[in-house]
Amino acid sequence: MLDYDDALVGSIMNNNYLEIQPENTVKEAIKTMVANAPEVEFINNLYVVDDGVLIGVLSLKEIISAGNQPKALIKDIMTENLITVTPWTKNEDAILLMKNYDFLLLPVVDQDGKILGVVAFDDMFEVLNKESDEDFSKLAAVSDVTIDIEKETIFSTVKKRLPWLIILLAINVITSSIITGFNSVLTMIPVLAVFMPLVLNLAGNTGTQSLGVVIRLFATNQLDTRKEIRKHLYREMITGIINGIAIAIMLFILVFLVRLISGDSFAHILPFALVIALSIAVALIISTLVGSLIPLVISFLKADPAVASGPFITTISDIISLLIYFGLASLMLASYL
Amino acid sequence: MDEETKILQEEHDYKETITRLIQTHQGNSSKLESMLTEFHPYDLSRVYCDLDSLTRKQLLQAFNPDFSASIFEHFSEEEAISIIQSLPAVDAVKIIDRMESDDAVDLLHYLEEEELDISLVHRLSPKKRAEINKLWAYSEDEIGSAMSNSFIRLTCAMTVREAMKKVVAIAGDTEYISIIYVVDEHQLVGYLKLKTLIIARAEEKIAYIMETRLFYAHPGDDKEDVALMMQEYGESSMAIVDDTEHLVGIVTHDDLMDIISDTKSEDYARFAGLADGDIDLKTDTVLDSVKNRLPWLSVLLLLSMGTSLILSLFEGSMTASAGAILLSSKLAVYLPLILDMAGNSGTQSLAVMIRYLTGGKPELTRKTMGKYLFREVGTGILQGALIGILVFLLVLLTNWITTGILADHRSLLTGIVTGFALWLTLTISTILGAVIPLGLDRMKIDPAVASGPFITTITDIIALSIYYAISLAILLPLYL
Repeated sequence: MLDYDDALVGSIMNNNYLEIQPENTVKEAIKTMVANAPEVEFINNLYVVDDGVLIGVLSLKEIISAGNQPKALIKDIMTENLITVTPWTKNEDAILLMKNYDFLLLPVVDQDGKILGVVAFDDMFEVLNKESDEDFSKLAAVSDVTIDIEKETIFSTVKKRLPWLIILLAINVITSSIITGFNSVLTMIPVLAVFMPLVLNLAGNTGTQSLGVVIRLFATNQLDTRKEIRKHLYREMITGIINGIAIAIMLFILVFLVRLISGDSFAHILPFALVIALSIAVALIISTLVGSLIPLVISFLKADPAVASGPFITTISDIISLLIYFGLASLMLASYL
Repeated sequence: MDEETKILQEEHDYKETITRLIQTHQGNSSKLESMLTEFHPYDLSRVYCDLDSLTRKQLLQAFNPDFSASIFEHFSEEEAISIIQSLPAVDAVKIIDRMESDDAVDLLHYLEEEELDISLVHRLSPKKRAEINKLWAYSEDEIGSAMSNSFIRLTCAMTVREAMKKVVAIAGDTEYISIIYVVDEHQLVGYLKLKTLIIARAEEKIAYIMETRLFYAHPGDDKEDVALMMQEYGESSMAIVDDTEHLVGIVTHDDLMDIISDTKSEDYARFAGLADGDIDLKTDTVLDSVKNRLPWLSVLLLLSMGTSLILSLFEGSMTASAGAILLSSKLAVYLPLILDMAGNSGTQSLAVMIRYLTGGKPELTRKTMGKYLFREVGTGILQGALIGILVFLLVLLTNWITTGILADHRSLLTGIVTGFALWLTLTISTILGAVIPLGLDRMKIDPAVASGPFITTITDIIALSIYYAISLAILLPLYL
């Protein structure tokens, strides 16, 4: 058998299925079934094969119900409308077929309709698990989230995580230099530091959310055409604007309350709360777009989309949010100081 | 290769054929029905949804209710609701009566959720009503809600010949026949595969050939737990028994597939801080997308206020003098870096733990849990130390670039404090990323509730407390 990419059906199919001839009678088919049943894992479907080509299928239920007409020919009672996959079908698509049709087995055929094997539902569970592992690895910036509790050591764990952390640290040097650049603003208005983590955190979270959506859309083949991508980005932008405004209003109120309690005067708080609310609105809108744009750009460049992990997006959105936050603060609060 | 795949998939798209059949034979519904039975009800359901509402109504009314019901079972939530509402109650009742009970209950639940009329349940046949009542009691998360009653029961006293006779007689009307359950006065005593029955000698007693090593769940058990159990045990169905070991139903492979893929997208969505992982670009509106995200963001906003409140506490000492203000502006420089790194390492260990807990791995015993946590602690300490050293060097380098002095007393101490704070926060956040989902799991809460954004926010609060407390205690005297 050829080597298939492990994301394709060819890698999980097996030869464990029952084959009957179209010219067989029901009685002969039952005999074949009885003779082969011990070796075949699932006998739920009998595949009708003519000269290697899959031409029909009979379920176990149908053949048993047909037991009262032993002379009937298989070709007259079989189902001809087949649902098949090829070895090059993506596992994800095969799972969808099995789910929609409530199948326990799916026949695999080649381009000439010749039967090559079957995939069974239990193999699909492994695929589903593996997919989840990959999704989580991507989203969390770990080389591989799966562990074998007996074999995994501190060093093997560090090896999977530290390289990503070092890359992220390197990007974070940018955040530090931005703040260094705005140091004069910060010494004049120390209270800006108080709300900095909050702004960064929320922007990072929205970025992670839209990244999560894009990764799911990629996995379900919903971003294949230019039109779909445009539609998605447009929707992300509007979502970012609505979320940005909603969170900005909530934050404005919260900042107001917190600063009032800590004894600031009303005239002091107003411009300050405005700056924070405005920065969060802009930061959220941009981070939402960044979360969906970066994975798209990366896949467009044919690079490993795993680079676009949650932590990576968070760090990028940190950089952007800091620029917005301090930029707006120095613009709007300079006169008021 | 891609071309070939495409051609094959087009060949299997029966939608066009079905649509044509419906158009040409619409007038003769019995002929149409016999032609349509050659297709899978799923394909029929897809075509059906694209029909105009009048044709829809006419067809469902004309078809045999059994046939209509089999199509109905493949509708999505929204489709089922809109179609059931378009039908006269009398036809709706006929169809629901023939649906599998678990699908019928799902449909009624949808109707109830949408606050629509479910009084038609009173017009169902007494048998169906009894079955629905039995399932109605279970919440959506409990396996009882997915139970099916359409399978074959045998008794141990039967011979293989008698059993085969029964199987042949009822197989056609039974949904699931691959595994046959053996009961004694309703009590589950064994099971056997139809395969085994087929190849057994006619005179043998069922009691003799059945498997007695039983695998079962209780109807109140969590769906996801049962799905994990079924995966381990590798059969296509599992028995559901009540407290007295009476067989009350079974769960089959197709339910299992639904549960697993729902769980998968649910876990993933939570991890990304989304309310729902099933995103359909075609039907989802901006409003859906906002609804999916804004609630989580609002919760995280409130949690994030924690960071501001803690920083407000330090504000007094940070603004007490010109020196203190200078120090606090310097501290702010590394604040995003520290918070970001803490969040990142927390997210990493969170992902590993969630996948361990939900991915069908062997359950953590006291011993393996100790080992797991020890490894996380060690990982946190080790990578925290390495990142800490890197940041220490970074602080010195920055100082050298900005002031031209490689290492004076103040920058050396700043570097040590920053590096140490980073080491401590990375260690703690790595541990938290593992402990929080584990704790949730022990409290019987789905560990996937702990999302990446949630962990990031928690580690933010801890990281900045550590950073400011240590820095102010050690560095403040230098700036006075």
